Amino acid sequence: MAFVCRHFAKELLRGSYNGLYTRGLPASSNAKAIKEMNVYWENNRKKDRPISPHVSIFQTQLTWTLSVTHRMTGIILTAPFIVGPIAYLFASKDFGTYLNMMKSVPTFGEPLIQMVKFALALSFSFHLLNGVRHLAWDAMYGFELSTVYKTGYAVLGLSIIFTMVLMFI
Amino acid sequence: MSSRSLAKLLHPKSAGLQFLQTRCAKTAAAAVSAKQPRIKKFAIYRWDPEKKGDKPKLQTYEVDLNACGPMVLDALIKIKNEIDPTLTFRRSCREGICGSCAMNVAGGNTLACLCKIDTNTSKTTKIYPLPHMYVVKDLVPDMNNFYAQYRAIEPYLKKKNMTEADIGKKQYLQNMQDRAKLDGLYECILCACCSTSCPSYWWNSDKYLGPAVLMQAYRWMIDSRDDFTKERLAMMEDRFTVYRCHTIMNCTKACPKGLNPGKAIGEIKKMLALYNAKEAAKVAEKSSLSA
Repeated sequence: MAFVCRHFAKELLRGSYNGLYTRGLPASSNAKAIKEMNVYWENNRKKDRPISPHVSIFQTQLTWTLSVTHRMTGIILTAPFIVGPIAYLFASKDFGTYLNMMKSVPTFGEPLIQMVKFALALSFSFHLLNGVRHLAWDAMYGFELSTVYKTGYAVLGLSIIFTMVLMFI
Repeated sequence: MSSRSLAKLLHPKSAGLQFLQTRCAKTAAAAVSAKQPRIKKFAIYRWDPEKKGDKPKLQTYEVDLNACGPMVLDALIKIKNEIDPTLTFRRSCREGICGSCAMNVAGGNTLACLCKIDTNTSKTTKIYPLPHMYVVKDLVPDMNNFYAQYRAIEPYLKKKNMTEADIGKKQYLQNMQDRAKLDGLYECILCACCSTSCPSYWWNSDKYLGPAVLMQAYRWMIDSRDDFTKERLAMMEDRFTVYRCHTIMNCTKACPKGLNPGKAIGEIKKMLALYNAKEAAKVAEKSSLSA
């Protein structure tokens, strides 16, 4: 959501929209560098070289783990706002009726509702707190590696506490 | 003054005895370990361009740590010298200043020469080339895109109103504060450990410059002697060149020199924001004057 907003806001501010993707560096860049890059891509494709392994072999680190989690929680939070209204268009009854229908499902109903609630609460807590961390970075605070780790663990701990509070509301 | 004579000065009586003791202890340890070899396994990524249709694979080598230097590069050189001369990797200075031996050791990007061998012999240490790079052979990736990106930021002093004839006529002095701004930036050896640890760089290395090159871009932006700060910033104005950075901070975690590319990119983003504001203010001022 934040990405979509940011993307289109920036495009509007720029005053020119030229599609989602462009290739290579801006045309104004150093001509020799651009030529070298073209040779690089062409050469490697022609020689059919393998690409060295990346995601599959990279060490689990707090840095990228939190970044991926931020994205995923963002998706989890955005999805209901897109899927929900569309589903509601085709719904014949109101939200409360469906909720009661879910609740009345024996054994699975109540735990399922709690699980959805937990997922949303955790996503909200984490995305909010880590979002504050990102805002601090944008304001140039907390870039030292030790601080990155401290704030990272703090976000994890606090979001669990936040989630528990939200679950009891 | 050598460290030993310094020790004698500090402890004039005991220094000789201590030295003897340490020597004895060392020989004793060597005698014990010589009996029991410490066999360490290294699983190393292999791919041979000469063999048609060769698939990349891991090949395991066994090295006796008693007969090997302490660093991963020592083990690699030992393997190449004594076990398998076809193993291919880059190396030069063996002391972390050339950046040639950058590779992925045990899942993290680092310089093999600065990375101590994990002495736990029950674990196999895996060694891969730098992640998400075209492989030339074994542990050697094609760095040409990385170098072209470095060329693209024009990493040299640029002055305005200068002709060829003016070059070398006078010094460009810099005060101590301005010089201090370059600390933590100029030490970069361009080993590409940071850039190839960055997921954004993995997916967009054709358009996104990556942490190493961006840190050098910043180094020239803030050089008090350079006249092209605005032009350097203007190059970053599209959505990929710098803005593919999502502050993941893998770069700072990876840097074997302890530098902070993530912070440098943050500074560029901040400069871009402020520079836009100033430009906008100027345009606004001009229009209000003409009106």
